[in-house]
Amino acid sequence: MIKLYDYEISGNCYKVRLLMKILGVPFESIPLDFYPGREHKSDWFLAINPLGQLPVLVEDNFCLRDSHAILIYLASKFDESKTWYPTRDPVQMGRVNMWLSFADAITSAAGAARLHDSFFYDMDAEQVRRQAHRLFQILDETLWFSEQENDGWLCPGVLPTIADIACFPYVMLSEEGGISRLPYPAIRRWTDRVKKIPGFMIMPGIFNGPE
Amino acid sequence: MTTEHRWYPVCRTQELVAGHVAQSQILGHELAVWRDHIGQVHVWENRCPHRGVRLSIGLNLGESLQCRYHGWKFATGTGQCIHIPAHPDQTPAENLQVTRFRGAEKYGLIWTFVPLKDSIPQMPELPLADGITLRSHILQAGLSEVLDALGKIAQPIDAWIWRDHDQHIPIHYLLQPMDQRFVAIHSLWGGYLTHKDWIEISRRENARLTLAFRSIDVRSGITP
Repeated sequence: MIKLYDYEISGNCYKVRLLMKILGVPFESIPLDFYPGREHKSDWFLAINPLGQLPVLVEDNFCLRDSHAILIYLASKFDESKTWYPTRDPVQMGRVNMWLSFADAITSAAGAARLHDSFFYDMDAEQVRRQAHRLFQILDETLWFSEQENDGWLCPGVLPTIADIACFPYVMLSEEGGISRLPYPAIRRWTDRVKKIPGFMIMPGIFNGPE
Repeated sequence: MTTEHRWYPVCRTQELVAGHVAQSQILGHELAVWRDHIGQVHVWENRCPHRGVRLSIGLNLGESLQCRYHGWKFATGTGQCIHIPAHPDQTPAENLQVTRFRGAEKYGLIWTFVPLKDSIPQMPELPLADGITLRSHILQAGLSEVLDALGKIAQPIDAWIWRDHDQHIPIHYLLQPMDQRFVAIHSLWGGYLTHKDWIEISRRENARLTLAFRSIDVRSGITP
């Protein structure tokens, strides 16, 4: 069975759990004491991931770090429809990859502001908040036009992709880093749509949508 | 910010999709704006009367709005609390009510006013049948900075309604003073458009406004 080195309130761990739930992939969670224990920087875990980051997926002798690499692996292996990560459609796959990089930028901005406010990391919080606002402006504009021309997902088409899953958590948790979503009404409607994906599940700070 | 007793737009009609609770703000008052099961629009103070949690993170159940924190339900129309999950057999007290603002739908927008007098103010008269709205812009700046930027592309009809400089661009810009940090600008197109033309014009005007307001985000450091 797949094992996931995991932390319940990490947005990057949550996006992997979320996709596994949606795809119906059974897994075993191995929780680490990220805060305040810093177990992800312990000797035993650095032997598994020298970057000291969560999540890490382990399946038999195969070990994979980086949440987006894990999303790509899971979608490619377990989604027979090939819609979550469209390996048969190079254009759409290119778009998904573009938004996966964008999701990394969201983590480095909105996710970092949350580490500052909620986990007391030392950084220039105002700087990362400004970066997050710039990213959210681009996201809101993209989603507004996607609502008019498509079905409101990040990549054109009628179905969500792992791009939506990758961007979702640190957008939803942004207020824990002091980043209001008041100026981003199209983002707010998109988060409602993500919550309606069959199999959607919550984490602390991210609630269910309407039935 | 202002003491004018008048209607302001709070969001586009189209943004109140089924099951959604929009978050808006007017003159420092946070708002939860939602459409109920029969299509009626409600503009409520964005605050649960129980513990003050924002209702915009709650659930639009159609006949009621449910607070996220303790699951209290507030009825459409009255804003009266009708259900408290921790005391399911109790009838909630009559004073457990959400503070409501008067709402209206006109020109493709949702409107409200902050009651500074007893009377209901006059709805602004625009030379539009039923406006077609383009993408709204929410700017992170005070009013004077926004007006400076808006002056590059438009001229005022009154303090809150502007008209494009270009005679060939039939757009009115309606200002929504949110608070000291945010001002929203809603774009109203005068005339009929096919869906295809509307998308094309939305893209073109969105790009033009983004450019006109770029100085604001450069000054605040949001845009490098």
